This record gives sequence, C-alpha cells and structure tokens, in this order.
Amino acid sequence: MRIKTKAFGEIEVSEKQRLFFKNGIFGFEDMHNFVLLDTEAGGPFYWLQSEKVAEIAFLIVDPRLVISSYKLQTSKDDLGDLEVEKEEDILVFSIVTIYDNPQNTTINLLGPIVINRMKHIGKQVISLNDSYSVRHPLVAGKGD
Amino acid sequence: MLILARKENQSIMIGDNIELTIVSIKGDHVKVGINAPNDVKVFRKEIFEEIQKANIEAANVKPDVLKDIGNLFKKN
Repeated sequence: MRIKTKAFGEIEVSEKQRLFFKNGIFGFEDMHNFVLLDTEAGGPFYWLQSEKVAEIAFLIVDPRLVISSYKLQTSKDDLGDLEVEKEEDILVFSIVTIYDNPQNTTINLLGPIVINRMKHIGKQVISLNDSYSVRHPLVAGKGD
Repeated sequence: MLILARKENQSIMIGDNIELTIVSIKGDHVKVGINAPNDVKVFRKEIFEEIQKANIEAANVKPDVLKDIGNLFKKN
C-alpha cells in the first residue's frame, strides 16, 4: 500500500507496518490507522505516521532509553483492548515533543503508546504509575 | 448526569467495588477519597487534557529535527 508520509514523502508500506488504534490518540480521536516507520536516526526512534494525513506523524522512542527501569503499568481494560496474550508481544513507546530549542525535548512517560506487535493493535494508555511525567526531559539536565 | 448531595464523610458506591468518599470540604476545596481495585483507572481530568495538548504539539514535529536529537545524545 502506498501512503504519503511527513518524513519520506510517498512510500510503499507493508501490511506488517500497519497499526489499528480503535480509540485514536488523545487529541486525534478520529485517527485510527497508523504505520510504524523506521527513522533515519534509527535505534530506539520510530515514526508513528497517520495513514490518512501526511502531516500527522509522531516521533516515538523507547522510554527505556531515558529511564532504564521504565515499566508499563496499565489497566486490564487497556490490555483487553490491545488483545494482549503474552507480555513479550507488547511494545511501549513514548511520544517525543520537540520545542524551538531542541535541547528542551521531552518525552511522554505518563501516556505511552502501547502496541501489540502480533495483532497490530495500538493504544495510547495512561500509566497507573502517576509519578511519571507527560513532559520528561529526553536528555537529563537539559529539559525544564 | 446523576447528581447526589453528600456531606463530609459520606460516600457513594459505583458498582460493587468502587467507593467515593467526601473526605473534607474546606471553602471551594473538596477532598475525595477513592477506593477502587488496582486495575481501575482513576485520573484527574487534567491529565487527559495535558496528554492531548502534548500530543497536538508533538504532531507538529518537523522531520529535520532528528539531526538535533541525534546531536543531543552525541554530546553525552
């Protein structure tokens, strides 16, 4: 399938890259179809790209890059929506927010994007551990 | 919306195992205690709004910032 993307223009994506978000993403509740794309930065960074609107793409990152002990704590409802059978099928990402000064870049630890990689289902959940921040500095000591 | 009047130390049950208690009322400040199973989500509504706002800002990301992000890590 060909889609228009923010980072790469029009590209071919495979079924394996497609994710269905039943509830959309907070603030984008009517967007249900996304694809997961590698970034040029590689490693723990990915693009979560809307299939419908090229301009809507989130940079996401493995939160353990920032907090190595980060652990997903979520409700049975969320795990049910994600149709989780085995813990190892789950991928957890934080959305990255970049400001005018990139040094202030933050990641959302409180509202992670959770993906069931076997069933291609995604959901933005709210962590039951509310000590996590919505805007946690990406690089220690650089955020505000 | 169901509206119930409650006094201090009075409670409301939601379903069989969620209990809301009005712990104290001081001026315009109401403290609410919530007893619910661990896997029931209980959040201040502001949290949803904060996440929505952060998402909307995050969606504006420009692809060329990836270079800057890479640089942040190189310096460390």
